[in-house]
Parts: sequence; structure tokens; C-alpha cells
Amino acid sequence: MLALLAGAAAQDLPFSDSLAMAGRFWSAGPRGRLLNAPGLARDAAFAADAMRIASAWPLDADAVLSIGPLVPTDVRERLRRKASYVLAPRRVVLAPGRGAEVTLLRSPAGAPPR
Amino acid sequence: MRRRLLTLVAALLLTLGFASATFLALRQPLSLGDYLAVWGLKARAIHASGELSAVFRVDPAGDFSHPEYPPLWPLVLAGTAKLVGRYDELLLTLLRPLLLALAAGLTLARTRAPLPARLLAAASLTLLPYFQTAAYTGYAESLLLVLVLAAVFLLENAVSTPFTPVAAGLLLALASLTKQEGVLVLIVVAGLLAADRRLRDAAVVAGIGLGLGALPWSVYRSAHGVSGLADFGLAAFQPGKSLRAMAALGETALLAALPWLLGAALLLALAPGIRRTRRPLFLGAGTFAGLLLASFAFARPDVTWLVTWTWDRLALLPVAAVLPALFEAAAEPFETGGE
Repeated sequence: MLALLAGAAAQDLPFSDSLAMAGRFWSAGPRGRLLNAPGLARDAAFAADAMRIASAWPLDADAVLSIGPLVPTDVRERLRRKASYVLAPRRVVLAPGRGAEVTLLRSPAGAPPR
Repeated sequence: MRRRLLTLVAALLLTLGFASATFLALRQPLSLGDYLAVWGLKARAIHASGELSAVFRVDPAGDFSHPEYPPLWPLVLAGTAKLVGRYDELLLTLLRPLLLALAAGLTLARTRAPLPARLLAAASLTLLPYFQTAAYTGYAESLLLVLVLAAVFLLENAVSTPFTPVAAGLLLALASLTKQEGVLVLIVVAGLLAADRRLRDAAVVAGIGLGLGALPWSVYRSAHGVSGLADFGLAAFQPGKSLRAMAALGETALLAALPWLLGAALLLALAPGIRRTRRPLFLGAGTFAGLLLASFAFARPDVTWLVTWTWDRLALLPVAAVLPALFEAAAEPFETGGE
């Protein structure tokens, strides 16, 4: 029991920081919460763009995520998953981009992405 | 007086464990790991479209979202979001303390020991590393655990009614619709009931569990062209993979788990009564763990990678299931036969 208790006591953040974090999230609006959520905050500008698209596009409009070869593979996969999450239920399909390009565009009508 | 103090300390530990796990869960919105890539992605898709088939649309090639995974947890997330009026990743964290309270309550109810030991068993559940890890808040294991513990609670009950196997079957059907491990639990439970010559109960549990859980999802999934086990397949079978899985488990977890295993063995060595009465539970937990290990022989991805990233979640069910027996064993040497 003591070992379990010690494990629980060894938190990832000091308690005061945790409390401040909780306070900020619970006082923020839904958009601020999502943009600053740990899983999205690292690419907040990209997530903000995806959120804007999510509120503007119809649900059946799919997206093409163009990512250039200079963007590392792990970042590409991370951005793809974030775009899919924010834009759900739309499909997000990867397409080769140029340089360090990262752009989200609407899939051409009548040509559903594969 | 001493017992009252023990009860107080146990209740305090339970409160601390629950408060700590709840605070960690409610501190930040759901957004990490497989929540974003799998569970939350599907939940948002269902919530936005109102259609279950949307879980296959968001990742048509099945590259990362595991479209074959059962849909109950995303449905619960999406349904809760509908109830609260919007898909809010912070409000959805409230599901975690609710499920944790249910799991702790079931652990307390399953423990056949004096109150302090029952409270300590429940406290241990809340203090398990799984519930003290913020990243797992949006994962499906908490729901799976509650459903499995509830089914085990019903089947362990000394007073069995004709309704008991039906209810247990329904709970295990829901468990099968939550995670694929639920099907494994269903098979183990039905097997144990059959081995105990409770053939009718075994048939009812297996029939309802498979008929209302695993089978409908398999049919629905197949109708959408999604295969059953993306990470596993007959073609990938190599017996040596199970050994590699054991080696990976040993490397990743053995050192940390060794004191716990030795402690549990010591407790059980001193409690022959619990060893006898809880034999079906140990057999069930052992069989479940053995089947999981054996399943790695059919794994398509690298087994070491798979074990490293899943073992702590896979271990949650058997560990939580045997917790009551460990606390009963701890209490046995102190019992005078009056309880």
C-alpha cells in the first residue's frame, strides 16, 4: 500500500503547477481548452487552422493535408492525426507537398480522397 | 478501537487514491496518445455525424485508428457529449472518476474480509499506476474494467439466481464491445463455468456474450470491409514470438513487478483458505494472462514494441481482478473464524 501511495505521490508536475493548470483549463472556453490541450498545444497554430476549417466546411467535405519532404516523418504523422481528430468525421488524406509546406485544403468535389 | 483506527486509515487511503486519480484526470482535457488517434477520433466522428459507420470513414486505410476496435467507448464518449450539449474534452474527463468509483465499489463488494481489508482493496485499485497516469484518462480500459468486475462480482456471488448468468452475459457482451480483451474474458469465464460443471450458466454467458457482443460487431465490421484483427493474423504465426513477448515483458516489467509478485506469493502462502476458495479466480486470471501471451505468437508488428507499449494496460484486468483475493489473504491469518 505504501509503495502504491508513493507511486501516486510522485506526480509528473508539482501540485501547485497542476492546480494552476486545472484552474486555467476549467476557466477557459471550449476552443481555448482544445487548443491548449497537451496533445494539441505543440502544434497550436496548425490545430487552430484545423478548428477554423472544421467549423466552416460541411461534414462531408474531406481534406487533403499536403506536407513537404522537409517535415520529419514523425511530425507528419502527428499532424495527420491531429487534423483527423479536429476535422472528424471528415477524411484527411496525406499528399506530398513542397519543402517544409504544411497545408490543409479541401478535397476537390467529386473526387473523394482515397 | 484498533479495528476502528484501521478502518479510518483504510478509508483515508481510499479517499487519497480516489482524489489523486480524479485530480490527474480532471486537470486537463482529453487529448493524448490513443485517445486522439483512436478513441476520441471515433467519438468525435460519431458525435458530429450521428452515424456509427463514421468510425470507418475517418481513417479508411486503417493506418492508425484501429477501425476494427469495438465501438462502445467511443459511443459512450459521444453519447455523453450529446447529453452535455457539446463535445468538450474537459467535461468528458468526468467519466473517469465515475468509472473509478464504480470499479472501487465493485472491488470493495467483491472482497470477503473485514471492512478495513475491503477498504484497502478498493484503495489499492484507485492507486494502481493505470489510474495515476493522466495519459490513460481517455482510454477504454476503465470502462472495460468496470464491466468485467461487475460480471465477476455476479458470478462469484454465493447466491446465484437464474438472472445471474444472464446479467453476467450481458455485462461481458458489453465488455466485448469495449475492447477485444473482453472477448478473451468471456471465453475464460465460460470455460471456467463449464469446468465447474455449471454447463447451463456457461452456455448462457457465452451465448449472450457472443450473440449480443462479439458477433454483431464482427458482422457490422465485416459489412464495412474491415478485418477483425489488424495487429494479429494466422499468417504471422511464429511460436517463438510468445517467448520474445515474455522476454520483452521480463525486460520491461519484471524488475518493477518482482516485489509485488513476491509479496503476493507470501500473502497467499500464509492463507491456505483463500488459496482454496479463490482457486477459480487465480485460474481465470492466469488463463487470461496466458492467452494474452500466447496471442503474441500471431502478432504482425514487432512483438517487443507491442509488449512495451501495451503491457501495463493489459495487466490492469488480471491485477484488478485478483486484488480482493490478496487482501482476503492478508486478513486470513488474523481472522478468528467469527466473520
